[in-house]
Amino acid sequence: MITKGHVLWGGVGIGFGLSLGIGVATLVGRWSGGETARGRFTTSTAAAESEPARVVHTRTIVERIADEKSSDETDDEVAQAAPESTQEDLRAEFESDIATHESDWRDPSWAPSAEKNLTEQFGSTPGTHKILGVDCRSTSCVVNVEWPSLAEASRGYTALLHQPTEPNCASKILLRPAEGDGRYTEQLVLDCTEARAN
Amino acid sequence: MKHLTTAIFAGTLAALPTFLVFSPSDSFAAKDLRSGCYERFTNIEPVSGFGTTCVVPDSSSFRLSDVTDLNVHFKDTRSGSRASGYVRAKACVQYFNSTGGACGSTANASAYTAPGTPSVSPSTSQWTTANLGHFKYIAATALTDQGGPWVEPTGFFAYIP
Repeated sequence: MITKGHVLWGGVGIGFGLSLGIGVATLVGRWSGGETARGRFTTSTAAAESEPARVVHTRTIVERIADEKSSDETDDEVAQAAPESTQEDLRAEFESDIATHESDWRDPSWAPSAEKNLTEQFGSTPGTHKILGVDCRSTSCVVNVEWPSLAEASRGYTALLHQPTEPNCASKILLRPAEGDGRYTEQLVLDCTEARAN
Repeated sequence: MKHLTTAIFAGTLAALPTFLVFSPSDSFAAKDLRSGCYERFTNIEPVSGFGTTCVVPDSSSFRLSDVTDLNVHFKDTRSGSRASGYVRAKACVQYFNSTGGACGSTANASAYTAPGTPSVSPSTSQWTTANLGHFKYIAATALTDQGGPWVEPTGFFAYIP
């Protein structure tokens, strides 16, 4: 026998259940990184340096997302979506990599042959650069490269990054702001940890 | 007490379908990204090789820092045997706010007989959360003294478990 009480309390229960279902579904969506109403952002390899307007636009989007997240989401989520490294962060990280390399010990069974190979391989990479020297330790190497100018370096550094090498190392380079029109030297840092582990 | 039981029963019945309707469909699913490169090799090494790049989009719904598998596929339309390392690829980052970038180690394809569709799995060691805002791409190269459209990357596949 269905009474008024059944109808009343059943309605309360259904209302509570609907709210609970929507609330849990929303939380699950946020925790799992699923799509939310706020939308997405996408980055692209389109020539960043030659399109300053796009860079500003991209940064604006990234910062906006970080701002939105900081307003109502957890610290972990903000950390995951933190905007890219600043120029200072990149410079600090790059110099830290070089410092780590310089403090490493030199493996006499590996470093000389690696230096010889890398000098030949980067020396034959197409471009206007000149290899001034290669210094290898136990799991890393630093290649000193010179270009006729910063402009030439800006055009030519990717050829060095893409150069397959033996030993097979990860590579990183960061050019400094202009310091005149003269010859430009920079260091290419190679992390050969994976290659040495294999 | 009887009314409370009724309320709990009705609420439970309502909550489950409501959750299923409103929960994001991809909340628990693995994700993958496939894209064609649509770029043929250009001659970057006048004698010994050719190369190109494939743009890889990084988004809040598909973070490249979470990718565990990356496969880059090529198409070689000429006949002949190809040595190990004939095609190869690296997963790279170009800094958006500075001039520079980084690449992971090179993945070399095993030897194969053309025509064929070799593939490589480059390391994504540079697609980190620290590089979240920077631009990701794949640098694909082929050793060939003939170049042209005979060998080209056809696309890539990225997987997040």
